[in-house]
Amino acid sequence: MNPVAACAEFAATLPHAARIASIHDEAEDTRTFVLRLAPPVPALDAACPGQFVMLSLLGYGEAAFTLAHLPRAGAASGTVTLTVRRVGALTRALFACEVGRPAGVRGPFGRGFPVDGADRPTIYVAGGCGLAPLRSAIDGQLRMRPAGTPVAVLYGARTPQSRILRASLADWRARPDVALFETVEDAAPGWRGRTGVVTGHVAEAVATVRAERAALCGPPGMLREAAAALGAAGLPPDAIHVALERYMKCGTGLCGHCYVNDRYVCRDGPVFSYAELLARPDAFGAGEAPRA
Amino acid sequence: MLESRAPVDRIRRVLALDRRVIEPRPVDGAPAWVATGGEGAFAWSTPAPLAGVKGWLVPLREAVLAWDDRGTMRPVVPHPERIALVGLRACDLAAIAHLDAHFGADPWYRARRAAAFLVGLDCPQACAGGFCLEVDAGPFARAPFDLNLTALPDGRVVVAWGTAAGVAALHGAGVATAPVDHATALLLAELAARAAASFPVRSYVTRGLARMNAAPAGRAIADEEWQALGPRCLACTGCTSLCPTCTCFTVVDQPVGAGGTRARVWDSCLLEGFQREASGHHPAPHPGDRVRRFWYHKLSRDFAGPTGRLGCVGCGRCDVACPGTIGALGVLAALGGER
Amino acid sequence: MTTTTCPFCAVGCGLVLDVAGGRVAGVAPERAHPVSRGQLCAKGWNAAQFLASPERLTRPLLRRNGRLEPVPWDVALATAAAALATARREGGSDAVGVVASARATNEDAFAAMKFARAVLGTNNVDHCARVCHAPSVAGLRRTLGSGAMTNPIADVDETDCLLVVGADVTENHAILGARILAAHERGVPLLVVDPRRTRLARAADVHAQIRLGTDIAFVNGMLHAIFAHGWEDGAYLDARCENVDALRSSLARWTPDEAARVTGVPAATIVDAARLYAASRRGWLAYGLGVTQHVSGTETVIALSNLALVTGNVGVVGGGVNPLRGQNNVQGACDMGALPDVYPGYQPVDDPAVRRRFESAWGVALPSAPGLTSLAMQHAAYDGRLKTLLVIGEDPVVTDPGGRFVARALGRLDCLIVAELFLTETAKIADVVFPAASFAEKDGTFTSTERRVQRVRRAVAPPGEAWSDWEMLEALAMRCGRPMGLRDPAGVFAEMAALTPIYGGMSHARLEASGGLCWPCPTATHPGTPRLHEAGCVRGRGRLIPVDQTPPAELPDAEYPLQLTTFRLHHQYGSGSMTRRAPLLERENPRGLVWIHASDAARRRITTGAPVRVRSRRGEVTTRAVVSDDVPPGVVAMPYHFAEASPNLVTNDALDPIARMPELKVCAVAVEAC
Repeated sequence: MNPVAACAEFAATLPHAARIASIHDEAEDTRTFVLRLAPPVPALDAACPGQFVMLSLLGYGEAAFTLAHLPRAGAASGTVTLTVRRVGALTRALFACEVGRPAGVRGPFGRGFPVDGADRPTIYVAGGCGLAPLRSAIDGQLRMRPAGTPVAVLYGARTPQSRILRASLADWRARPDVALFETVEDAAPGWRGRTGVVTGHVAEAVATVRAERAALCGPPGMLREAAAALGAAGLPPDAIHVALERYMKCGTGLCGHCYVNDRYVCRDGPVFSYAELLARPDAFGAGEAPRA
Repeated sequence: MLESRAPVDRIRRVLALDRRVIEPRPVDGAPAWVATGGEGAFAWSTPAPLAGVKGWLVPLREAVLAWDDRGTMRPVVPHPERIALVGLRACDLAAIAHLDAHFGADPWYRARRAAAFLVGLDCPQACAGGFCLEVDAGPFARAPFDLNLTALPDGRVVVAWGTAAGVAALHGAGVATAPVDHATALLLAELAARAAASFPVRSYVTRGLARMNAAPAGRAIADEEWQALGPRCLACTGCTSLCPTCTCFTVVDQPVGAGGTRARVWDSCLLEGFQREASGHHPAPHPGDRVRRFWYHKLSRDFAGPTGRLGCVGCGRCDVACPGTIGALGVLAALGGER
Repeated sequence: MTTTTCPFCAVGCGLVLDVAGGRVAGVAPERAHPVSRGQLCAKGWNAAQFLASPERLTRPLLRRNGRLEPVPWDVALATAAAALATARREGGSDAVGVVASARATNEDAFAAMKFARAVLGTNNVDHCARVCHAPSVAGLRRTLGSGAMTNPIADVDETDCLLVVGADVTENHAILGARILAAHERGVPLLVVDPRRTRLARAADVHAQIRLGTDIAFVNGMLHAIFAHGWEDGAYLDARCENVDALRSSLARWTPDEAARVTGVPAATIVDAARLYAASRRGWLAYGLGVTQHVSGTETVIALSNLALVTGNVGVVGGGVNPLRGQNNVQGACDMGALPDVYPGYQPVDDPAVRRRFESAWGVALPSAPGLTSLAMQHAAYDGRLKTLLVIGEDPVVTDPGGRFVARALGRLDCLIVAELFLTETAKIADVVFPAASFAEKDGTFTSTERRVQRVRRAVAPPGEAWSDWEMLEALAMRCGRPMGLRDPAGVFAEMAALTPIYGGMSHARLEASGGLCWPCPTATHPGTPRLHEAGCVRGRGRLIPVDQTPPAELPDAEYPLQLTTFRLHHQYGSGSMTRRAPLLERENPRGLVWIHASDAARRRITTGAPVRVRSRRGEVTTRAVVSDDVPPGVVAMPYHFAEASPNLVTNDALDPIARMPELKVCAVAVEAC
C-alpha cells in the first residue's frame, strides 16, 4: 500500500471537526443542537431526510443521531441539526456542553426516506422524539411538492409538555395546506387536542388527505402498531416507510450491533419500506414481528 | 510438489528472514500459536490451537483515533509487524475469507492483513469436535492462502500457491517444485475422500442446518426452542472470543490526561448490554433472543459470505469454550432433535 | 504466552495471557486445565482489560495539604514506617494493624502476616474472609477439624445429588455453576435452597425459597424428616460420628410443619428435599455467602455439616460440605494465617509450642493473644485505640457493612496506608498509597476454593513503579529496622512451606504442572489431597452439634417493611476495581440496581428503571429498580459492586458471635420511588 494513500485512507475515517453553534430547549430532557462545520462538508450538505450521523464527543464516544434539519429543507449550509433526548452517558455529556464546544461528526450514513414522490399525498406519523427525523422530510416535501398536494402530520407525545419542535408544529398548524393531528397520552388540563396513542387516529388522518404513502418514526412499539394501522387503512406496504433505530457503534456495517435479520440498519436502513420489514420478524424487536 | 518435507523447513526459515513466523506448538500441554522464528522442524501434527489467529488480524483492542489536549483528532495508523502464520487449517482459512469480505474496506484490517503471509495445512482427518466438512469449510483448504501444504503419507508434500507472494516465497527459498503428476493427483483425491470419510456421521447437524435455513426465514424454529436454550447461556463471551469469524466490536474512548484514544474492542452479542438502547429498549431482551440472533448469524445462509459458505466454519472451538454446552454442535444437536 | 491462574473468583481457572509488545494483548482459556478445561467466565475473558488501564497507580502517593501527590518510593516508605513506629511507641504494638488481600498471592499474604507479627509485633491481621467465609472456617473446624471445602469440584461429575444452599453459583463461580447445570441435565437431581430465584433455582428439581435467615430451620426440618423416615446412614454414624443422640433429641421440635412455618417452604417440599438428598447414594452439598453472612452464620455451617454427616456424605467421593470461597485467593489468605488467631496452616497463635516454632524460625518474640478482626480494627480506629493501619488490596469502604461508619472510622486513624492497583474509595482517604503489581505482573501462587494451590506467573512488567506486595512489605520491614529476609516468591513460598505442615511438601517447582496440588500435601512426594476426611475426619470423629434457629438481628416492621439481601453479579467482582475497568463488563449492568417483586413495586408506583431510595436505620442509598420475580414479595436485593449505590450504606453490622461475621445478607429497609 502506498504510505501516503494509506494515511489518507485512515484520515478519511476521522470525524469532521465541528462546534456547537446553538442550543435550543425543546421539552424536558430534549434539546436541539446546531453544529457548525468549518469548512462545510458537501456530503453533509447533500444529506437526505432520514439519514443519520455519528456524533462524537471526545472522551464519551460516538452515538448515532438522525439529522433533524437539512440544507435541502432550508437549513444553512455547513450546519448539522440534531434533536437529542437526554437518555445515556453521551447525551448527558452533550447536555452539559455550552455553545462553542468542539465535537465531531461522521456521515451522513444510511438510506433515508425516498426523496421522490413529493407530488403524492403523504402522511407522516411520529411518536415522541421521532418527530425530529421526520421534520426535514416534511419540510422538504412542503418545499418541493406541486401546490395542493395534501400532507398530513400525525404526532403523538406522552404529554403536552413533552412535545418537541413546537415552532415547526406551530408553523404546520397555521398552514391551511397541512393537516396536523396532535395527540397526547396524558392530557393536562387545558389540552384541547386529541388523546390516546397515534394508532387510534391513523385511519382518520389517512382519509383526510387520501394519503398514498407514509413515513414513520418513533419508538418501536408505536412503529409496529402504526404501520399495521396504515396497512389496514389501505396503504400498500411498499408505500409505507419506517425509520428504525438500533444501538450502533460504527455506522458503516462493521461493528455488528445493528443488524435486523439479514439487513444492517446503518447501511441498508435506517429507513425501510414496510414490505421489507414484513419479511424481517425482528424489525421491531424479538417477539414483536411486524403484522401484515 | 516437494519430494520431501525438508524444503518446507527451508521456506519457513526464509520467511523468518523478514517476518515473524508464528506456528502451532505445544505450550503447557496444549497447542498454541507461538513465534518460532522458523527454527526447528515444522510440527506437522500439532492440532489447531484453541485460540485462533483472529487477534493478529483484528486485535482485541485496536486504537483508531487519538486526540490531544486541544481536541485535535488524528487517526491512529497501525504499523503491523510482518508475520507468517504457518500451519493454518482449512477452517481458519475459511474464517479469514470471511474477515476479508467483512473488513475488506477497513484500512486497519487491510494494513494488518497485508502484513500477514498465510500458509495453510490440510487436515488428513477430522479433529475432535470439528465439523468443517458439514459446513463446507474443510478439511482441505481453499483460498485465501499464500501457500498451502498437503502432506502425503509417503513423505512428499503437495504445495499449492494462491498468490504471487506465495510463488515469490517458493522462489526465494530456492525450492524446486515438481508438477503434480497423474498418480499423485489420484492420491490427493483419495486422501481428500479418506479425510471426508473420517468425520463421524452427525445427522443432527444436517437436520439442524436445514431447520435454520427453512422458510420463512428466521421463523422456522419455534421461539420456545430458543428460549429453552437461553438460560444455558451465561453470557461469558467465550464463543464470540474464540469464534474465528466473529467480528463485532464496540468503541471505547479512553481519556488519558487531557487527551485520549478511541479504540475498537471485541464485543459479544451474547451480552445483554450489546444491543441495549439508551432509552432502555432492547430488541433482544431475553437470553434466548440473543442466542437465536447469534446462531442465526452463524448458521443462516442470510449471512453466507461471498463464497457461499456459512458464518460458521465448523472449527468446534465454541463447543469447548461454552460452559453451558450450547456451542455450535450443542445447538445443532438441540435443533436437530438430538438432545 | 504465559499460562497462569485467573485472578477473579475462587474456582481457579487456567488462563493463558498472550503478550505482545510488553502488554497483555489477549486472554485465552487453558485447554488442558483440570478444572476449567478450556472455559472461562465473562470476568476471565475480560481479564486483560483492567491491566493496561491508564487509571492504574504507577507511583507512590502521599497526602500533602489534603491532596494525594506522587512521591518517590523512599519518601512513601519512610512516611509509612515513621507512622507505624509512632503508633507503636504511643499506643503499643496493638495500635497498628494489617488488612491483607484475598486477591494477592499466597506469597503476598504470607509476607503481610509475617510483617504484622514479626515486624509490628501484633496479631492484628485479618482480611476479607471476615465478611465471607469466617463462619465456615470456625464451623467446619469444630465439626470436622478443617474449615475448607471437603471435596473437589470434579466430584460434581461423581455425585448422585446436588444440594446448593445460599449460593448463586452460575453467576459467581460460573465454571462450577455450569458444571452443576450440566450434571443436572444428565439427570442428577438438583436441590436449591435460596430466597432468590437464581438461574440454578429455576432449573432445580426442588427450589426451597426460604425466608431470609431461616436456613437452620430448613436444615433441621430436613434432619427431622431424615431421622423420622430412617433415611440416615446408621452405619456411618456409628463408625464415624459422635454426639448423635444429642443431635437427634435436639430436633424434636423441628417437625416439617414447624420448619415450614418458620421458613415459608411447604412441609412436603422439605420432606422431598430430605428424601432426595438422603436417599441418593452420594450428595454433593455446596453453599455460599447466603449461609455465612448472618448472625447465625457459624451455626448454619454447623447445621449443614450435621446434614452431611447424618447422611454419610463426608469423606466420600461425590459427597462433602463445600463452602464456595469468593475470591481468587481467599482460601490462600486464610491458609497463610492472615487471620488474627492463627499462623499459616491454622496453627493457633495461643498455642505456646506453635508460637515457639515461629519465634525460633524468625528470631523474634511473637505476641500470644489473638488480635483484632478487620471489623474490630475499624472499631478500634474509631475509638482511637488503633492509630495506623495498612490495607492491602481491599476496599472496605465499599465492601464492609455499617453505612458510612467505615470511612469515618478509617478517617480517624493517624495514618492509613493502602497498597492498590487503582485509587479505590479506600485509597482515596489514605495518607500513603503504594502502587501494586497485578496478578499478570508477578510470580506466586493462588489457592482455589478446592484447596488447589496453583502457579501465578509474571507475563509483563508492572506499570511504572508498581511493586508486588511482598516486595513492598520487605522494603517497609527494612525501614522499620526489622528486615524479613524475603528474597523472591519461590523463597517466600519455601519459608512458608517449611512452617506450614499442610503445604509442607509443596514448592514452586512442584507446582509447575497444570492444576498444581491440593493441600494437605505434607511431604515432597505426597500427591496432594483433593478430598478431605477420607480416612476419618481430620479431628477424629465427625462431631454433630445441635443448633437452633436464630432469627436475623433485624426484622421488618412498620417503618422498614421490607427485607434487603445482597448478592453478586456474573459480570462484576467485589468492589469492581478490576471489572469496572473492563468496558464490556461495566456496560452489562447499569451501575447500582435493586431487584424488587412486582407486588411491592406496584404498591410503591415503582417501574423497572425508575429511581428509588432504599433506607434503613443506618443510612440510605439511591439506585434504580428492576421489577422481577427473582425475589419474592417482601424481599429486595442489591448487588454490592457499585460504590455509587452501595447496599453497605444500609446493611446491618450485627455480628455472628463466633466468627464475628456481619449480617450482610439481611436487614430491614424501606423502599420508595424518588
